[in-house]
Amino acid sequence: MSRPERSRRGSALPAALAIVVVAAIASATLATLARTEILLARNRAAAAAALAAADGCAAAVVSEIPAGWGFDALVLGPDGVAGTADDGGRPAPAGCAATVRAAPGPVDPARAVLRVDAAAGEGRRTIDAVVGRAPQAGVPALLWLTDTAALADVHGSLTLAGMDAAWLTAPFASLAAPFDPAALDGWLAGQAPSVVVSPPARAPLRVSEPPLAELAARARAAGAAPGGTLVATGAPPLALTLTAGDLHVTSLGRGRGLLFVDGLLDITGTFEFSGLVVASGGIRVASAARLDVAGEVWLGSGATFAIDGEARVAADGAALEVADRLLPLPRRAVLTSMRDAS
Amino acid sequence: MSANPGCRGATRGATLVELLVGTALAALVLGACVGAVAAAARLLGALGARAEVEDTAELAVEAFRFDVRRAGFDPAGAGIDPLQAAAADQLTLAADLDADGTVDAASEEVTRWVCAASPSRLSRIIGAQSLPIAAPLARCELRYLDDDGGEISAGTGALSAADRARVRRVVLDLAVETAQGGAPAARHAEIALRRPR
Repeated sequence: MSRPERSRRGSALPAALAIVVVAAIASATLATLARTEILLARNRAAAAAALAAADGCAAAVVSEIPAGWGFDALVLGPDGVAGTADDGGRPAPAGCAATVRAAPGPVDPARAVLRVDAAAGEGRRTIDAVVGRAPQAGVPALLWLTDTAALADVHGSLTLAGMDAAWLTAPFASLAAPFDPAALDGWLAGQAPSVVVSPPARAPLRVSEPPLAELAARARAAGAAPGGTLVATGAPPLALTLTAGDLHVTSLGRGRGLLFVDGLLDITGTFEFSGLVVASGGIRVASAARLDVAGEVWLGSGATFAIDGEARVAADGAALEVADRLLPLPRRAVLTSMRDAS
Repeated sequence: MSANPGCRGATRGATLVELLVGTALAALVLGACVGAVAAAARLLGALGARAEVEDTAELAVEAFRFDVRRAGFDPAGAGIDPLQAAAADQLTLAADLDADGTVDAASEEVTRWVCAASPSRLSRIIGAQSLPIAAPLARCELRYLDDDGGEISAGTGALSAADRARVRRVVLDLAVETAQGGAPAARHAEIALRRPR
């Protein structure tokens, strides 16, 4: 009785168990492979996201570096003293940290090394970026403002012509200021048709404020003329001029080079200038008066910008370069090269 | 006296026909299983091979991007030219990675990328060391774009120094062939070349 039963039992159970074992091993192997692939893909995605975050952080930090001539002040930190805790610290967007240190080698060209450490999700990347000063003087904008005080109503007419015939591929922006360009767009739209931006012109730029105090100090140190460089007849002399206090132009005044008015530029006649006009206290163009600048206009903190007459600012890169040769102008910080540090 | 037919049937064993049918069914089931497993294995192999070639293409582009991104790194202000040579089939990138103001051609500071034709292979060359990055290739081409996105043609030779100075972006068009045939793993990478402007 027992022998036939044993023989009838067969090998189904061992066979089933073997199949289960083989299937389990195969499943486990597949699961491990899939898990490894998923981890690899996740790591790669995290690394790419972190790298993008580091790039974005570097761009944001560089855009906030004030226009100027060098980077000593940044390296020294707010206290201006080397070897202290605040050396090189820079404000950075959430998720990243940035520090600036002096670059090795010669002082010129002006540059610094920016280290950015950024995290995104599970990834983290560190990059070293070399920050230098832009080759172009100033900012590529017709009006460079320090604050919103200048954004007053225009009762006369203001024409901003961004196209420079010599630089056809790079039109100037109409406005530049250290705040949201949307506010500048809104002001331009709100002032139409009194304010005309003749195309093509780039959209308003967000940049740091013009460093007028240091520019005035440099102009003073360079021996700027105190005034008297505007002429009514003949070719105006190329001049670096720094006037202390307001400047009143009551008839025809024509000039060339760099005019720094450390006060209000008050025009009741006709003012024509080729180069850079800086007015720390602002500009007032009276009714029936005219301002015509080929180059750029920079305004200081709390500056008046009252246009009751006719004003026109037209891009002229060559005139700006001439002014830059008279007195080196501040430049924006730009990222010139980088490497991945981790 | 009469035997129980069911009991007798249960103990009578399998007939030859039953055995043959059983064997045939078992063979069918086993064959189906083996076929399914083999098909799955083939599919898995093909997927693995495809994944591998896609990985190869992706890693090649990542490595190329890594080198182009850091080309021209010049903390010492020595005026490092990021693009030291450029042609349709190769380019040479330079960076002052140790910030000593010089570029050591025998180190990783000078990296050469070569699209070789025979055998078709993309290689990264540092000093005397050549590292194959991707092979075999259906396509490997380097192109150079200026500030406005216009192509600076290298023709059959190399770009002149003046043309190299205009290069703002480097393009790698890469297609890695699969071992099992099928469409190659193609990648198009356009990478900005940083240089003061």
